[in-house]
Amino acid sequence: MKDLKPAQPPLFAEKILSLCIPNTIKDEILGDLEEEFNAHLIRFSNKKQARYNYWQQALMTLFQFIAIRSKDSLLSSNRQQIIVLILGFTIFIISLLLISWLSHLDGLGSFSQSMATALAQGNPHKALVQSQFWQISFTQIKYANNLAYFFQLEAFTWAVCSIFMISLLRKKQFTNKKYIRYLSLIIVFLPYTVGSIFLQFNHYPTPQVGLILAQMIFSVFYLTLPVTYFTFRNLSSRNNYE
Amino acid sequence: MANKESYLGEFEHIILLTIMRLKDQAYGVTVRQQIKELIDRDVSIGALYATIDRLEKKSYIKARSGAPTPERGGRAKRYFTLTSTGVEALQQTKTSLDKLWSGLTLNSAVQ
Repeated sequence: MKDLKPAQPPLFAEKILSLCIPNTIKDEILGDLEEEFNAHLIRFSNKKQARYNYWQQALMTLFQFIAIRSKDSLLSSNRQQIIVLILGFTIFIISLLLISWLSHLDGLGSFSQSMATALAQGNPHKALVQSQFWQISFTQIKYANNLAYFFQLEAFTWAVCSIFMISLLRKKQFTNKKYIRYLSLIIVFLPYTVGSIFLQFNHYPTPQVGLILAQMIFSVFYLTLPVTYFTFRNLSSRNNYE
Repeated sequence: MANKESYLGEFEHIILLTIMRLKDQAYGVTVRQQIKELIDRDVSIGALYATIDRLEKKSYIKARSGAPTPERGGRAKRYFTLTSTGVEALQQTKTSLDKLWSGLTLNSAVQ
């Protein structure tokens, strides 16, 4: 004979859901899900499938309410624009400081042991937690009057091609604007991420490491401001294609 | 004349008709089951309640709580019924669709 006592649905899914859905409809949604979970168990006696259905509905409901919240209140278009501006300028300044810092030092011997290892492994962002970086880079940027320090051919070519491609996509009336925003973000950080992964698994002499690091950081440096501008404009003219 | 506010979206239309069909037995689970049975459309609970919330704000439906039941973990059901504004919106949409369909046959659509 079947056990008619109601079973407990997946506790973790229930907890996550109860944290994320509005209080006004929490009981109704959790109640409906539990009722369906028990009905499925009674009808098919398949607990695995019942748990799978519960998780599926819970996750779909979760994403639904996260999407509604971010659309309605949490991140209004104006707030997103402000966040994009702040992030864009911060990343630009940090890449500028990294370039001026790295340009004025001779070889990996000029760095502390931990920093030299981080650079050799393709992690220049670790400089941000080094006091040496913050002490020196602001001083050096004042003397960075040689524009040649700010030119790197490969990264410049990548940046020009990327900006051209994004501009073309923006002109296409029916291109999804959210897609352009994600693509732009990927383009900015792609050389940095690929370079970082590449150096993690390969060991090269210092000059070659320097060249790869330059390509990584300069790509971010060249692309951050144009992409910030594109994203800012993109958010101000959101349309129904999203 | 119907304005944008009183115009029903496709999913709103489906939910209102389902609630109407279920009479006093319309709550989350039955509404989803009925939609699945009638038009073979899987509706997530999240999408259903998001739309129901919108319909309540427009005063097209009203909700009342039922008694808590053990198979729902001691939680109460929330039953929905149409309001007169909801019926009016349905009528308006039906009239508009009837006008759009009048004189048309699907055979004549392909040239």
